[in-house]
Amino acid sequence: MKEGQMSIMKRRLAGVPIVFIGFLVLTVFSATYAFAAINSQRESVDWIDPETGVVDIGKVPERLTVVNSDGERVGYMLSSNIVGPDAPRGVSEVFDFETDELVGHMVPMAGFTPLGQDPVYQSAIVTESTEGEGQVTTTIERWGPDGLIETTTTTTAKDAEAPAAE
Amino acid sequence: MKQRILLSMLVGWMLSAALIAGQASAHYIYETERVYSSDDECTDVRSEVSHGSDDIGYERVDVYSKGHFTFDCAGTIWKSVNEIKAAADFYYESGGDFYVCHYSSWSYNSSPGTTHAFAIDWIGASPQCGATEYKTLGWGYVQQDGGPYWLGGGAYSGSTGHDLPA
Repeated sequence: MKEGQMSIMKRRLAGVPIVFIGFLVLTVFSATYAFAAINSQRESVDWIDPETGVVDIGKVPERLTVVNSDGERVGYMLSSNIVGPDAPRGVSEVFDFETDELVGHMVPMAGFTPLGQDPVYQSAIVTESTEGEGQVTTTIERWGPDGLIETTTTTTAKDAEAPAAE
Repeated sequence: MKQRILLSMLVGWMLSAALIAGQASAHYIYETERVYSSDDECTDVRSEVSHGSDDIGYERVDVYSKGHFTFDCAGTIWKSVNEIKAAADFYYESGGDFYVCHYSSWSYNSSPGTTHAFAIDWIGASPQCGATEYKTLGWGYVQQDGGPYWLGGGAYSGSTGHDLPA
């Protein structure tokens, strides 16, 4: 290789680190920006004490992110619907993150229900029991896709209480 | 020297195996916390997340009405019908954060007592919100003795969630 050609090659190679550093800076910047964008829809959990797991009512955010049956973040609901002693805990409206438009509802025992669709209840056995003096009163509800199927209530001696499912 | 290295590796492998086996056999996760305490009354909440009878999810909340007898919050305080209430939120984990998947309505004690439990045992083929880690956020309140207020709060089932299948 001639000396002139070597000189040109060296100059070209000298620019490579600058291009590489520029590329690296851009990549890091893009990644940081993308991470921040994802984080803007992430749920802050600083309202729950990490040591005890107890909720600090004063720190609960106004909005709670909702996921559908596929685990996709579909919008937000107002925390006042389910947080605190006076929360109604009925059907809650779910709004779009960006436009605040209504996208569906959260229905107890059914979860997220998109706008215009009927709720599909998940099959379940719901047990409610109260421990009194020497006895336990137990109400068992059986739920199917169309909602509540049947309810039975029994009272048994305390020692006869059925063990919790695992 | 070589023997020491081999011995260390063996011990490390055994500890890791024991740890993994311990996690795999943990079919339920629960935590009991004092969510309210005053000079007169206390409220404890036990929140649980487990596999359930059909292996797709189980959530349970127990509410304890307590008072100061001899020791702090050592005794129980009797409550009339509809004076203890419980509710459960099912939180879905993604990327280290938790989102609302399901929540229940309020469950009230149907007979006089000191403890009220509410549990949902999901059955059938329906998944919750997909295969991932879940936590139960349990809410428990007790009607103030002779007063208008509900005394209690919310607590997570634990610092870590519970893996549930789709």
